[in-house]
Amino acid sequence: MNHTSNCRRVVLAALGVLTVGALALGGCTIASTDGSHPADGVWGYVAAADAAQLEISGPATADELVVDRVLSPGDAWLVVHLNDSGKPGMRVGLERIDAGESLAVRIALEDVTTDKLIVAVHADKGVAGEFDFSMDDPMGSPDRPYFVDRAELAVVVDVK
Amino acid sequence: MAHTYRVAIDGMHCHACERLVTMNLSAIPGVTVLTADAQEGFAVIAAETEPDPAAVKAAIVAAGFTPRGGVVTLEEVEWELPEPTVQEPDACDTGACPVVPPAPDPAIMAASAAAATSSATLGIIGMTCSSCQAVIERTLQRMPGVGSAVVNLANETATVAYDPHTLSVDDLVAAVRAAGYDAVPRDEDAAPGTAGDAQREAQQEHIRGQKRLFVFSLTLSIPLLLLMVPSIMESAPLIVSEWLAETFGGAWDPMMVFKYISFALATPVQLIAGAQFYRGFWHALERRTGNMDTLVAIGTSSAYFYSLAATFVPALMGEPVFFETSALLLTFVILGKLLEARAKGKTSDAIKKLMGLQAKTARVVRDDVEIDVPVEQVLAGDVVVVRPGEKVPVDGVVTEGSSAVDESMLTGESIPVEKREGDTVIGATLNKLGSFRFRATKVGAETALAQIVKLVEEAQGSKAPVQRFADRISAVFVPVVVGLAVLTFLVWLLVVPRFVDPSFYAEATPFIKALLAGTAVVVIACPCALGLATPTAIMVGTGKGAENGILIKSGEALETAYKIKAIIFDKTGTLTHGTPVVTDIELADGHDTDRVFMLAAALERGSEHPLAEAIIAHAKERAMHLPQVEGFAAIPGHGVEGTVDGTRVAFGNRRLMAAEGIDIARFEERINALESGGKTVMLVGVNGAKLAGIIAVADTLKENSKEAIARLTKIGVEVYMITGDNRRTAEAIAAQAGIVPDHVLAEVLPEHKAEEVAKLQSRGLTVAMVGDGINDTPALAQADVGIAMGAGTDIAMETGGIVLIKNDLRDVVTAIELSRATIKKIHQNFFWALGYNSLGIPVAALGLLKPELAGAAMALSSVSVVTSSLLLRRFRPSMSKGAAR
Repeated sequence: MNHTSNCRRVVLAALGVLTVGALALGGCTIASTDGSHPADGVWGYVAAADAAQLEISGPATADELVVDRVLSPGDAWLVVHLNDSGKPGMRVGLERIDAGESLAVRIALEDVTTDKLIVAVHADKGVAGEFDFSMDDPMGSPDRPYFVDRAELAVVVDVK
Repeated sequence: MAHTYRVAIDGMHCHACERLVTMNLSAIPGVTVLTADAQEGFAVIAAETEPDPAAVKAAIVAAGFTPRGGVVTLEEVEWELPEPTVQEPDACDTGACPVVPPAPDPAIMAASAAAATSSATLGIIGMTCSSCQAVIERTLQRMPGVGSAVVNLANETATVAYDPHTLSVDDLVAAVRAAGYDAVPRDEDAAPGTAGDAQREAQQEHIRGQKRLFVFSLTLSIPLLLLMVPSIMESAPLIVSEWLAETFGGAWDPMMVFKYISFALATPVQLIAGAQFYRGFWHALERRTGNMDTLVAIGTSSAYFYSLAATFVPALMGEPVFFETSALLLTFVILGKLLEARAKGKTSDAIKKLMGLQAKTARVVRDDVEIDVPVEQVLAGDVVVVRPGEKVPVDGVVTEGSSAVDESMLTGESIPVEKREGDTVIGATLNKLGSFRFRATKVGAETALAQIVKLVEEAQGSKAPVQRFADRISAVFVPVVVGLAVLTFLVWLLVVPRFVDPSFYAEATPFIKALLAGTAVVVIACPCALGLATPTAIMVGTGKGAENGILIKSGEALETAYKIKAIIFDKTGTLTHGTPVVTDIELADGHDTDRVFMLAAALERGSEHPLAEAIIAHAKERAMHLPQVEGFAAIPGHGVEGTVDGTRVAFGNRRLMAAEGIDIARFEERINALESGGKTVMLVGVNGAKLAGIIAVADTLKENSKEAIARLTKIGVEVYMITGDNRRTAEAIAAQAGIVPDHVLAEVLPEHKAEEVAKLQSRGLTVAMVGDGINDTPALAQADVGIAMGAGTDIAMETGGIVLIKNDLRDVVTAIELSRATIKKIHQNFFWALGYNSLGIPVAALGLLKPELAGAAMALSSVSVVTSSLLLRRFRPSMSKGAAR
C-alpha cells in the first residue's frame, strides 16, 4: 500500500512538472514575443495629467498654428498631422519644445489639405533634436507621443 | 626478497588503461606494479609472496579489463625496474578505454596507489549529474597520496583509498569543497546504518536550501509567466506606468516598464537561485570540464544577459526580452533536482527497513540484577535475557532456556527455529513463546544485521561496469552539446534566413530565433538522467535483494549475474543439508564396532569436513569416550590420519587407502553397493596395513534444491554439480536433484575446483559457483559470480559476490531474476535518458522547443529515470516461498 502511494506521489509530481510546463507553453505561445503593443492601446509614454498638457484656443491657418500653452515632462515635439478620418494623417508641421511649460509656440505648416488638423505632443527620446518617428514603425520609434489618462495627448484644431 | 610475476591482461589500449591497471593492482596489499604494457597486454608486479590470484583478478576486472582467458596466471619472471618515464596522459584515440583524468605524474600516481593503505568514505552533497561525479573523481584522483577514488552518484558517496602519511580525510573534504561541492566524512565504525547520518543531515539541509530557492524562484517566476499573457502584458505595465507617473512625475514607457518589471523579477532568480549553477560552472571550467551546471549556466545566461542588454543598451531597447525564459528555466531545474532528491531517497529504503529491525533496548544481567540498557551499551560477554515476544538484541549463544525464534526478517525462513542451549541466536530476530538467556558474542558493528547493512551499503556504493557506458557518454556530452548549440545558433543566424520567406521573421529577428534555438539545445541536452540510469537501478536492485535474503555485494556481481549461462553447485552443504548422518558400519574380521568407530571419531574430532560432524554426532549419541590424537593431519581430498591409542589410523576414501598401501579389494563390492545408493563411504585403515572397517554416511538433498535446479534449467542455465565424492555417489545425489550425469563433476580435489570453473569459462560461458566452504573459495573467486551460502564459512562469504542468507537454493534463481530485472531496468533507463536527449536535441535545433520547455523536459527526464528505477521495487521472485515478503 505504501509502495502504491509512493508511486502515486511520484506520478503526481511528474504530472505537476508537465502542468507547469504546459502553462509555460501556453503563456509563451499566446504571448507576443517582440513585446509590441496594439496600435489602438497605449503605445507611447504615459504621463500624469498635471505633467503633460496641451492648450490651443484658436484655429490654424494654412501656414501657421499657435499653441497657447504646452506642458511637457521632457523635451518634446509638437507634431501637426492632417486629419485622416479622425486619425493622424500626413505630418504637416513640427516644432521642438523643451521640457516644462512653453507658451505661444508657433508652428509653421505646409501642404495643409484638410479642414481640421490634429496636434500631438511626442517625446524627444531618440537623438536629441531629431524627430525619430516613423509611421511605418510607430512602436519601434523612440519619439512616440505622450499619453494621459490612456489617451494620446492631442487636440483637434480647425483650419481657417 | 621480492618475486616478480607477469600477468596477461586483455583489453588495454592506451596509457590511460595502463594507469588504471597500475592503480588497481597497486591497491592489493603488498603488491607493487613494475609495469603495465597495453601494447603487449601484460602487467608485471612485485610481491614478497605470491599474491592471491582472486585478488589480482578482482583488481584487473575492477579496472575494466579481463585476465587473459578469464584466468589469472601468475608467471614468475625476472624483471628489472625500467628507468621511469613520463607518459603522455590519456593518449587514447580509440575511444574504447575508460575515461580517466590526466594524472600530474604517473610515477607519483603509482607511488600513491602503492601507499594507499587507508580508505575513507565521504558523503557528497550537491552533485547533479554524472559529469559532477567525474569532476569529483578527477579532483580526488589527482591528489598525491590518493590511490583510487570512486564516486557514486545515486547514494552520493566517494570512496577513497589514500596514504594516511601524505594526506588526511580533511584534505579530501577540502579538495571536494574546492571543486564546488560539499563533503562530510562518513564514520564507518559507527553503529550500523548511522555512518551516513552526518551526510543525511547535510543533505537534508541542502534539500531544505533547494526548497527555499525553489519557492523563491517560483514566487518570482509566476508573475513573469503571467506577464506573458497578452491582456496582462498590456494592462499591468500600463497601470504601473500610470502609478509611476502619478507618484514620481515624468513620462513612462509601458514597454520599458514591462522590461523593468521582468528584469526586477528575473534578476534575483538569476543571481540568487542561479548562483549555484555559476559556481558549478566556474569550478568545472577551472578543471577544464563541463557538467550540468555548465549547460544550465550557459542556457540561462544567454537568455538573461541578452534581455539585460535589450533593457539597458539604448541601441537594443527596441528588441524583445526573455527574462521569463531564464527564470522559469532555473525554477524547473531546481524543481527537477528536488524531485530527483526525493525519489533518490526512496532508493535507499532497503537500508532503512533493515535498520528498523534492530531492537532498541536489551535486558542484561549485571551483578545478578536484570537491567534494561540501550542496545548500544550491550558488551560482548554480557548475559542477555530474552522474554516471549521480545526481539533478540544482539548476536550470541544460548546459555539457558529454550524457545523458538522467528528469523524470517533476516533469512526469510517462515518457520521459527528451535533454539536451545549452545545454539546461536541472531540480533533483530523475534523470540516467540519461550524465554532464554544468551551470552552476547557480537555487538555493535559486529552483529550479523550490522554486517548485512554494511554489505548492502557497500554494494549500493559500488559502480557497475555498465556505468562506464554512461560515464563515457557524459564525459564527452557537455563539449559536444555546447558545440551543437553554437552550430545551431550559427545556422539559424546565417543560413536559415537565406532560405525562408521574410514573413518568417515577422515576430522575431533571425538573431532572436537563433538565440532561442541555441539555448534550447543547451538546456535539453543535459546528461543528468543518463548519470542516474545505472546507480539508481543498482540501489533498488541490491536493496530488493536484501529484502529477499540475498546480499549482493557489488554492482558488478548484480550485473554479471544476469549473464550467467552455467552454474556449478558445490554438493555438500549447498545442494544437500551438509549434515550427513551415519547410515552403515561394516567391519573387517576381528574388529568391533565401537573400537572402529572410536578410532574414526577420535580422528574426525579435529577435522572441519562436514562428514566429520556425522561421525562426531554418532559418537556423542553412543556416549563414546574419544581419546587424544597424536600427529593429526588433514589431507585435502583424501581424508585424515593420526595416531589414536598408539594405533596409526587412516580414515578417508580410496585414494587415502591407496596412499597408505591398504588393500580394499575384499570390500569393493559392498563399497560399490553403498556408493550406488548415494552414500559416502569412508574407510578406516589401521597401522598402514589393513582395513578395519567402513563407515557410510548419507547427506540428504535440501528440500528446495530440485525445484531450484528445475527452474534454472528452464530459464536456460546449465547446472553442474561439483564434489570430491566419487562419481557413483555424486551421480546418485545429482539424479535426485535433477542434474544430468554429464554435468556431474565428481572426484574433484578442492584445489582443482577452480580449474573446473575455468574450463567452463573457456567455453565462453559466464559461470557462477555456488558454495559454502573454505574449499570452495578459489572456485568462488574464479567464477564470474561467486554465490556463497549464508551458513557457510566467513571466507566463502567474503569471497562470494552474492551471499544467500537463507541457504535456500531458490534464491539463486531469485538472484538471477533480480539481476535480469535490474539490467533490463538499466537498459530501459538508458532508453529514457538517451531518448530525451536524442529526440530533444534535434527538436530544439529545429527551433521547435522553447528553452523553458526544454528545462521542464530535462527535469522530467531525471524524474522519469528515477521513477523507472523505483518500479523495480515491484520485483517479486518467481518461485513461491512461504516467507516471501
